[in-house]
This record gives sequence, structure tokens and C-alpha cells, in this order.
Amino acid sequence: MDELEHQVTAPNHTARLDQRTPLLVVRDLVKHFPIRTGFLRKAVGAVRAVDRVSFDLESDETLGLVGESGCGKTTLGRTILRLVEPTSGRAFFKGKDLFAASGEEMRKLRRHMQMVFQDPYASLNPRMTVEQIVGMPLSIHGIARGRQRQERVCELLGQVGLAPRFLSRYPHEFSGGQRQRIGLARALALNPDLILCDEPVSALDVSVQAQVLNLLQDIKKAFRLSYLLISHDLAVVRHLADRTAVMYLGKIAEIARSEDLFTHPAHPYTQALLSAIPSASPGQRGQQILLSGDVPTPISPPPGCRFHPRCPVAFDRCRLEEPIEVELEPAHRVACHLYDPHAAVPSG
Amino acid sequence: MAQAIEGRSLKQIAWSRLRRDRVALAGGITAILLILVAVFAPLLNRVFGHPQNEFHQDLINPNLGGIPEPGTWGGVSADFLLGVQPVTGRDLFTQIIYGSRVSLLVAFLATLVAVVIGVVMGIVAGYFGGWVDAVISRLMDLILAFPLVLFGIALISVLPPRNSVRIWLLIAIIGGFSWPYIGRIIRGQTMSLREREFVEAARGSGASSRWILFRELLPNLAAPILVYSTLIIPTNILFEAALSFLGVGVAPPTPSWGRLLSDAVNYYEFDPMYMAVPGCAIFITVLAFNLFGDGLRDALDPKASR
Repeated sequence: MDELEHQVTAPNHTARLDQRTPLLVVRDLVKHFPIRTGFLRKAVGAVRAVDRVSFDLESDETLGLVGESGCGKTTLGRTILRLVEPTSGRAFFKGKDLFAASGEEMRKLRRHMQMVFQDPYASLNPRMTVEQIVGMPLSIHGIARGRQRQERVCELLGQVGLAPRFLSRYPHEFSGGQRQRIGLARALALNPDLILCDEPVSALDVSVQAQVLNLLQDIKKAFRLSYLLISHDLAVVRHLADRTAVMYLGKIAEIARSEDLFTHPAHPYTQALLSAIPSASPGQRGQQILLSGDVPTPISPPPGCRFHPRCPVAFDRCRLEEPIEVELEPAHRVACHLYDPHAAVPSG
Repeated sequence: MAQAIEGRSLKQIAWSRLRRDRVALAGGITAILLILVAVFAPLLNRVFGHPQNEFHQDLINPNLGGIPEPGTWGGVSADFLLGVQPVTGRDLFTQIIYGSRVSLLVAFLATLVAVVIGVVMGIVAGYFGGWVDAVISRLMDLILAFPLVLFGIALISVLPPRNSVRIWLLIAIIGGFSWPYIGRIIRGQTMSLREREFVEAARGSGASSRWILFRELLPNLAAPILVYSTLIIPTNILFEAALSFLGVGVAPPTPSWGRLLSDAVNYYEFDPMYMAVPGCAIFITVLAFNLFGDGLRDALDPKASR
């Protein structure tokens, strides 16, 4: 029995190792929102929400995406799920080209990539019962209905820690944390490979945040799935993410394994962000790097490095030339001129 | 944890508010009574009235041009609850209760037509936006700017005066011209609903536009649909009465409130009751539906404090 199973699964496993195809590959993704004015709706400019972003996401991995509000992290997530159409770039999910998929192909792909939303109040239809909400994806894809669907919904509710007696309740009868569990049950209904969590706990009380985060972690282990975790909260990302990407004004500033990034931040922006985390032991607290000014508007981002107007260590080249990503160590990439091997001596 | 939160559904909240609103409740009860009268008109008539085309020449005075005896309030008696018609001497009570059938039937079916078209157009315009919204919105503007009464008169008067045709035509015209009122409201509500995350959640799960429109959005539009349907009914009753008054409503001998009114114009100096009775019938019906609709709107408004 064991042997047989081994024989069946082994070839698959090796094939996967040989190919080493990440679950999700994103290359040069761009999303510009045109600004239209006047009677003829002429485009007079564009909000560069996401500007040439590339990253990979392995299966069974959590990638955290952090950044200030307005840096484009939510748009990036929604573009990958094609809830927002991309301007340019490519994305492959399990080797399939997401942006070339037709409506019907996309509908099928959506079974494997689901989303958990930020606002647990707006993301559940107030006129539907829990059974209808969680069972909705099953009905849409014609997987289960009637008694069968009800059983599956009960099972899902159990997995997120809710009792089956809630089946016929409406969303307004639940607390924020419970609603977020319902949202997670809905995302799990189709057995996805990837769940995009957009600020999954930021609308919740601090006491409930930990519960939901732990649930996310347990679910990940039980279902062997990948998360793309979007958050502005560094503590949340550090707690859950295997790797972390820091976004600034539509670009990835730095991406690395979480323990690397949190212990040895390379980019001045990452360093400033991390220095702002309050420490549990006041005496140990390091020097806080204060950033001056506001985030520039993504309609006309600064030339050169986008961070240079606020960067404490900026030099001439930063004002002129956009930095390219440099690999410091394996899997630790940073977009900053400080680390460019060809520019060890700042000119001028 | 969950037991502590004793949530009241919108239905319960609305009902408790409505129960305390006496004016709306009176309007609602009156409206239901009127509907019952229309449904059971033949039965009521057998008990309280006389056959529709039974002439009672003994109750009118041929020397006074055929009006009922002066001083009898248009011939009101225990036998003739609302008096008789001049010249023919037919029972006015019979005419009124049979007239309510036409009034309410046309008003209800026209409202149904208006609501179905209005909701579909409004939800589609609001959800898709862009050129779809532009086309539908301009169509609504066009219909609202149309000289409706003239159109009704022109169209109906060239068609054969058979009631089987006329009633359906009346319903089609009244419904076809009143849908933009509800369409605009549904469009606005849909525009705010479509930005809610649950719509995105459905789309992310692979739902088609049709699924989102009719399974996700429509249940959230139940309250405005209910309220504005109730408020369109009295408008349609008035509209049907106006067309009948102008002679393009249902054809005689089927009784109609509007035609009774236009007939009464010839006698109002000598027999004012003949005008007052159908006038009051229209007035009470319209008022009842309006009061109920207003009360319903207040009760279902989530922002109302009561």
C-alpha cells in the first residue's frame, strides 16, 4: 500500500523539482490608471500605481507585501487576480499566462486563486446567509448543491473555527473576527492553491488579530497553500511571511527572506520602516530614522530613484538615474544605487 | 460570543417601525381593503348593489333632465348606497366597485411592467457604467421628456375600441412610460453597491455578470424596489383615470372611475354627488397608497432614527 502510493506520487514530485516552476511568476507588471477630464474624457495623465514589478511566489510559501498606504500594494494584488486589468507586463500562474486567458479560462483559473478582503463588513453580502456566502463559489462552479453543498459548508466552517449552527445566520449577526473567518471559509471553498490576503486583520481589534493570524497559519499548514499577504503592518508580515517585499511608490524597493530583511535591511527605506517599529524593551531601542516629507504623488513620481527626496543617504546619481535591482545575497534583492557594484565610487 | 449579539434583521426593524406609524398603517389597511373590494366586487354587488345594467327610471326625475330627485343626495338610500347615475338610473355603488377593478388592475400591472423594465435597466446601467449607462440614461431622459398624455390619446384612439386590446395597451403605455422613475433610483443604488467588496469577492470567485447582477445585487435592492413600486401605483391610478376621463381609457360599458368623472361634468351643477363619489374613490385610493408608500420608505430607511 505504502509502496504503491510512493510509486504514484514519486514521479510527480521529481517532475516538480526538476521544473522548479514557481506557483506564480510576475514580470514587469505595470498598472496605470488614466486620469480623464473634460467632455471627451481625454487622458491627461496617469496614476502610476504599479510600475514594473517582478517577483516569484513558490508553492507552499507566504510572500508578504508591505508599504505605506498608496504605494500600490493593493492594486498589485488585484491586478494579479485580474480584478483590475493590467496596463502591461506578464503573469503566469501554474505556468498559465494569466493576462492572455480568455473570460472562460480565467473563470476556471479563479478556482485556484482566491482572496480574503480587508473590510469584513463590506466583503460579505448583507442579504445572504452564511451558507449562501460560503457556498457561493461551489454554486458558481457547479461543484455542489443542496444537501451536498450544505455539508461542504459545514466542513469549511469547522475548519475556520465556526459552529455549523451559524449556517442560516446573516453577516450582521457576527463580530469582525467571525466575519473574517467566514470570508476565509469562502476563499477555501474551492481548495485554492493561492490566497491573496489584502490587509486581512487591519480592520480587526488587536485582541482578535492574533486569533485570525494564527488561523491563517494553521490553514496554510493544513491545506498546503500559498499566501500573498498584503499589509502595512510589519509585525503581521514578520509573523506570517517566509519572504517579504517592500514596496515604495509602485516599485519593489527590497525583497528578501523575512528573517534576512528584518535583521539586515539593506534599502534605506526598509531601514527607516523597521526603525519605526516600537520595541518591547525600551532600553534596547535603536535610533529611529525619521523620514522627512510626504510620499510624493504617483501621478508624477520623482525622477531617478523614487525615494531620493526623502532618503537620508541620497547622492547625485539617485536624482538622475533609476536604480536597477541588485542581488546582494541569493534571494535578497534591493533596488538602490548604494549597492550597485559598478558605482562603488559615487561620481561627482 | 455570538449569542450575545442579538441582531434584528431589516425586516424586523422595518416592521416594528411601520407598526408604530399610524398614518402609514391606516393607508396600508385602506389599500388592502380596496384590493379586497376589487377582488370580491361581484360578491359585494350581489349583497349591496344591483346588476350593472339594471335601469331604475323610478329614481330619476325626467322633468329635471334626468337627475335623481333633489334633496336625496343623488338618490342615496339604504337600497342604493351611493345613489344612482343621472338619466340611466343605474346603481352608482355597482359602477364604483366594478370601476375599482379596472383602476387597480391597470395600475398594478402597469406598475409591474414599470418595475421589471426599470429594475433591469437601472441595474444594468448602474453596474456596467460607461456607454451602456450613457445610452440607458439618455433613453430615460427622453421618455421623461415625452408628452405622454398626447401620445396615449393618439395611440389609443386609432386602435379598435375593444377592451381586450385597450386594457393591455393602457398597461403597456402607462408601464412603458413610468419605468424611468424607478430606473433612475435603482441605477443610483447599484452604482454605490457595485463598489462594495462583496461584489469583488463574487467576481474573484468566478461569478458571471449576470450572477452578480441578479444573485448578489438584486437582493440588496429589495427595499427601494418595494418602496418605489408602492409609490408608482397611485401615480398610475391617476394616469389611468386621466386617460379614461379624456375618453381613451377602457370602452363602455365597462365602468371606470375616470369615465364616471368625465360623465359627471355634464351634471355637476344639479347633481354634485355624481361627481363627488368617483372623485372621492380616486382620492382615497391614491392617498392610501401614497401614505403607505411614504411610511414604508421611512421604515426601510436605515438612516431614519425611529
